Amino acid sequence: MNQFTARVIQWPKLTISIIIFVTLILASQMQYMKIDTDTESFIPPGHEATLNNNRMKEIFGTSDLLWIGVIREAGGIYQSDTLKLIELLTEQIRLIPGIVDQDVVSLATEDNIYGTADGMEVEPFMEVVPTDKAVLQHLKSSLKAFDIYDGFIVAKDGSAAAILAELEPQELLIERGLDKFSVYESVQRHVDKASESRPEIFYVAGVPVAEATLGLYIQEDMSVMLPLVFLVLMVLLFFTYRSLRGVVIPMLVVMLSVMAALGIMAGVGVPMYPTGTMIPVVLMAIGVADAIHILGKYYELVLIRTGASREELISETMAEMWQPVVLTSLTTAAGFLSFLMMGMVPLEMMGLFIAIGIIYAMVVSLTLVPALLYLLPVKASKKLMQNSKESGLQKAGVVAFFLALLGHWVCRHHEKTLLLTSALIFIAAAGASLVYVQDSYIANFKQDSKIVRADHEINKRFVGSYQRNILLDAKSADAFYSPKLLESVWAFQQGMESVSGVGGSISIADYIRRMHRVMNEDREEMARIPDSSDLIAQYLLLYSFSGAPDDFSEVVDSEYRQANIRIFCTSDNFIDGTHVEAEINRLAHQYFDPMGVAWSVAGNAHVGHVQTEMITDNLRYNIMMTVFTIFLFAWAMMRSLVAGLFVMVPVLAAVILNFAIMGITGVTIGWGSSMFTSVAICIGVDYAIHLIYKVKHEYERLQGIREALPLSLATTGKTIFFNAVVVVAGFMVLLASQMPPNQQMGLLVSAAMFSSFIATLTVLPALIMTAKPKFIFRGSSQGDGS
Amino acid sequence: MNSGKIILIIFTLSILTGMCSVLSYSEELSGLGVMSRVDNRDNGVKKDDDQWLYLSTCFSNVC
Repeated sequence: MNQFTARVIQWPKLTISIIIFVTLILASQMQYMKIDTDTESFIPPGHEATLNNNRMKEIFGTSDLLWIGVIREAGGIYQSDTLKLIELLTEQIRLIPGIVDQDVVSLATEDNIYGTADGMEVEPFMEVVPTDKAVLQHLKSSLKAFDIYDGFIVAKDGSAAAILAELEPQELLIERGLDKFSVYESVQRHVDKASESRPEIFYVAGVPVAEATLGLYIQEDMSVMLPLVFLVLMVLLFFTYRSLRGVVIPMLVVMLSVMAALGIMAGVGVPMYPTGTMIPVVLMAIGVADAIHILGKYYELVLIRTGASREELISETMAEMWQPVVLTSLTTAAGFLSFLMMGMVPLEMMGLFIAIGIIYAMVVSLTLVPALLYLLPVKASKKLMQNSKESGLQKAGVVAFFLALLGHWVCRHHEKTLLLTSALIFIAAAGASLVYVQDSYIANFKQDSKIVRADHEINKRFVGSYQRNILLDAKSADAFYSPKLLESVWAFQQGMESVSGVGGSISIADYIRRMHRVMNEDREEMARIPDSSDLIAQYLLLYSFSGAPDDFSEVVDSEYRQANIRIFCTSDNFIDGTHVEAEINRLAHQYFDPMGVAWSVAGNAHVGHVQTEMITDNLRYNIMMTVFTIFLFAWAMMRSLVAGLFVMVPVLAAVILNFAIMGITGVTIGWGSSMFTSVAICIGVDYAIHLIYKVKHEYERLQGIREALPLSLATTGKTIFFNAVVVVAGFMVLLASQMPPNQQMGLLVSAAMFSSFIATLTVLPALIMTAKPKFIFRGSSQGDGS
Repeated sequence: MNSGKIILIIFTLSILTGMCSVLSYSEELSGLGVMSRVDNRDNGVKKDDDQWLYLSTCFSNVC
């Protein structure tokens, strides 16, 4: 490494030029960055839920619905002017590019089924908008009598109506130069125009709206958080080093590594997922550490090696720092690479590109930093120089002074420190056991946001905007003419509708029941499945005379072999979802297994549930993998199993403490909070590695642990302090995100970093004093060496 | 066995207990009826009326 550093300072300008040139080439790819907020992107393409969803789209053409709620509290929606508005808005929505014209559903598009003397008639609910009170009343009662529509396109209390639209598939939107957000914006524009000086209140919600809004938030977050984290780091670095180079050098390292990581990401075609917004923030907070430690050592040498040349100072700095810089970078990168085993592409990609950025930051720190230091004259604060000369390094600044005092205290009370920590961890373990899983897609938005208000209103008044679809395959054509099978479908629906969180359901059985009723003088008690399959076939034939051939295409295939039961849920949160999914399993086993009908579950709510389940299952695995990977790396690089274990202790103590805080304050595990543990472990482990290296170095030099520990805390401990302050402040910037999971992650990582810093400077020295490990005390016969 | 070794054993046990608690976040709770404790489900906020009783139950379980 000495030779490498010698080469770098031999050609500093060339080194700087190469690094900047390579980075700019990589960064030029950032213009091709795409954004992906699709709920399905969190699940591997070959996962059962994804396959079922694809099958559902292919056979039944069902996709996520965009809901427009038209609410009129005074007098309800059965008023001519409101119905006219619904008709007009429906027409306008149908014409928006990116909306599937024939799949727009509202009062103005749907047909009613009537019984006539000659058979059956299928006619629109509103051929023309009624003005007469009696006709309006008839419309109301017709909709009330038709189970499918009551609560679906009209609220059960008549206070609201819905216009439902489906967006074209993503590939088609891209082909046409559109995206989900531009379609949503067009819808919102029409809704805003329609609502001008009207008594109705309009809400737009649904999964496509959430996905589109999330895409916008990602762009906005990136444009706000990047400059903000940049500014925060600059201010902190200035107060740490009080010099321009102390700000410029670390900032250059993080800027170049962020540009390179995002450039490579865009270059290889990986889109920006919601988790991707964290990449630059995490990289900035971590990437700055290497430069901080190198600068910290450099200034330490400037203070004690007065008169030494720049070459000597830089060579000595790099000779001592390259090992901890490489080790911390590799262990942190390895920790993030363990995300690759999570099985969820957005999290895997986040881990991969953070790891790439960290390695890039390491390369830049080992090349650009010494090159820049060589080009700049040797400088340090006069006050620090004076203090250092008079009182030694331990009094070089207030922080160093207090950390040295802390070091002396821990040396004296190391057993008490460990006992107190043990007691705290036992209590924290109880708090940590309170943590549970709860998440939802809508939780990506703030409670007072427009989209959450719309979601609450629509789910309060209608059957629910979250769908679970039960795909049935009876394996023989015309199977869904069978009264027995239709009875089972109906019983299944009834069972599901009694589950909390389920607002309603639609299947072919609903239509058959309706036909049977209207063919029997519209008697309410005849709304049931007929006893004969011939009669069912006859009804469907009669229907086909006046109804459209694709009227049932979303609930049954053309051969009547496969069917789709659409279950509408009023929320997509994990706990409600767990009950609903359990009931689906129970009832499907009860009604479909005995009939030999194969069933599977699809739909956005199911996909969201599977996603959270995967996060939950993978979190445990991910924590273990991160801990194990870092431990192996530390063991291998420090050539000591005990050193590997010691490195993990402070960060594990911090994680346990943070879980306890989560448990007690009611923070649940979702995708935001699930990542904090691994991120915190990956970053926090660096502190322990740097301190262990320093203690080892100082012990070898001074041959006394009671001298080595306080000195290490005053020097490296001080750098760790500044590093922790920068990381905490950097992650606090995530609080400016518009997405609560990002805010939660920022807060949790900051808290974990703070605990990790405290544990590194107290628990780790106490452990070293008590255990007297060989990897530090090698060659000493007296143990503590004092 | 000297006091240092005993303290190290206690400390190791505390870390192991803590990590077991962290890694057993969902199984532990399903047995303690967390579902009924969820007040605001969208936020995942829990009722805090019997928080300390619950905490003590968890503590005794962990110990």
